[in-house]
Amino acid sequence: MRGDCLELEKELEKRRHEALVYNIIFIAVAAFFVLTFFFIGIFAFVGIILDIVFEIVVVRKKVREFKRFYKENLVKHVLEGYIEDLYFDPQNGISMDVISDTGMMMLGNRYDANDYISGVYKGTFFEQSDVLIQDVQSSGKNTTTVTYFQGRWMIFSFNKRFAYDMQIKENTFRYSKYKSSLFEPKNERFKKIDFEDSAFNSVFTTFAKDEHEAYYIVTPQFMQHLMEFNDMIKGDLLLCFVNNRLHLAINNNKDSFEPNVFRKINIRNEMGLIKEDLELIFKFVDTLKLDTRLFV
Amino acid sequence: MAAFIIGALILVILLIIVWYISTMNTFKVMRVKVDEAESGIDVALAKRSDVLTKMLDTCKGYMKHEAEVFADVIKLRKGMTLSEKVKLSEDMDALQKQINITAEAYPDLKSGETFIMLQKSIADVEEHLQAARRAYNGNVSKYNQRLVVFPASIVANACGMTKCEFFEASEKQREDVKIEF
Repeated sequence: MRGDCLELEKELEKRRHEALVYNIIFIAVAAFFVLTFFFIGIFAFVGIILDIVFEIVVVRKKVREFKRFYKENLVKHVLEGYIEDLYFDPQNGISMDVISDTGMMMLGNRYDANDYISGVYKGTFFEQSDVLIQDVQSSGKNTTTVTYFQGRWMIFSFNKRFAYDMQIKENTFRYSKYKSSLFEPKNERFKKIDFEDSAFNSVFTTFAKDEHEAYYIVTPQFMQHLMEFNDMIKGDLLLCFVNNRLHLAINNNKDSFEPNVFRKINIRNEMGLIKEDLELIFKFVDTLKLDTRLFV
Repeated sequence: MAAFIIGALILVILLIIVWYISTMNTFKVMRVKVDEAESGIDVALAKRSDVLTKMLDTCKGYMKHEAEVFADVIKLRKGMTLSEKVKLSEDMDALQKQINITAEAYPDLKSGETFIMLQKSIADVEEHLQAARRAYNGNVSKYNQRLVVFPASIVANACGMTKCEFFEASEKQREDVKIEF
C-alpha cells in the first residue's frame, strides 16, 4: 500500500511538474514579448497571440490531464476510504434540472458543475458536486458577469417525511427565490415563518408552504445544530427541503477537490486537503444528526 | 379655510376608520390562525391517543391494572378546553412512561415486532405534537403581543379581545419522555 502511494506520488509529481514547466514557458514567453514590445513592435504582438494559442491548446490540456489524473486516482482513493457505494465522476456534476426543479435558486444563463460524488455516509445517502451559476449579460462592448452561486451543492436523504416544500436561507445568501406571488395557488405560496429562537431568526429566514411542517422539521435542536454548523464553515447557506430530500447549498466561492499546479505534491498533505473538502459533508450529517432515523 | 379644515377632519376620520377596520381584521385573522394551530394540537393529540391505545392493547397482558385506568383517560373528547388538553397530554406522557417501564421489565414485549413499530410511530407522533404545540404558542405569542401594543390595544379593548392561553407544559411534562429503541 505504502509502495503504491509512493508510486502514485511520483507519477502525480511528474505530471504536475510537466504542467508547471508548460505554465512557466507560457509566462516567460508572455513576459518577454511584453517587455520587448517597444523594440520589436508587431513581432511582439504576433508573439503574444501565439503564446495565448499555446496556452489554450497545450498548457490547459496539460493542466487538465494532471487534474484528471489527480482526481481519478488520489481523490477517488481517499473517497473510497470513507464513503460506501461510492460513485465519483470528476467531469460531471449535479444537473441544472435538479437545481431548477427545487424552484428555490436563481439560475442565470451559465451553468457548470463537476466533481459529482454520490454515496452513503453513516446510512445517509447523499449526492454532491461543485456548482457554478452565473448570469452573463452583453450590451455592445460591455459584458457583465454576475456570479449567483459558486460552491458546493449537496443533496441528502432526510430523516423525516414531509409533504410540503420549505426553504431556510442565511440572510447573506443573495440569489435564492421562492413562490410568493399572489398569482400562485394559495397552498403553493410560501409564508415567512418566525421561530421562537430569535438568534436563529436573525441569522436565517425560513419560508414554508405549511407552518406545522416547518415546526415539525425545524425543531429547537435542529435550529441549534444548524447554527453550530454555520459557525463551523465559511460561506452562505441555503437549505431547500423538497420531495423528502434536503438540498444544502454552500456559497463559498471555492472549487473543491482541486489540485494546485504550483504546489509540490506530498501525498499526505494532498490527502489531508481532500479529507478537509470531504469533511464538509460529514460535518453536516453529524452536526444535523441526519443519520438518526426517527421514523422509518 | 373652513372647508379645508372640514375636509382635513373628514380625511383624518376616514383614515381612523380604515385603520380601525384593518386592525380589527388583522386581529380576527390572527385569532383564526391561533384556532387553526389549536386544531393542529387536536390532530396530534388524537394521533397520539390512537397510537397509545394500540400500544396499550399490545401491553395489556403485562399491565392489566394500568391498562384499565389509562384506557379512558387518554381519549380526546370534543369541546375540551386548552387546560384539559394540557392535562390530557400529561396523562399520555405518564402512560408512555409506564409502557416504557413495562417494556424494560419484559424483554419479550420490548422485542416484539408490533411493539417496536408502535414505538417508532409514537416517536414521530410526539414530534408532530411538539411541532403543533410550538406553532400554536408562536401564533399565540404574536397575537398577545399585538393585543397589548399601543395603538392596536385600543381596538382590541374596544372589541373585547382577550389574551389567548399558551399551551404550557407543566413541570412534570417538561421532564423528557425517554423513548428507547
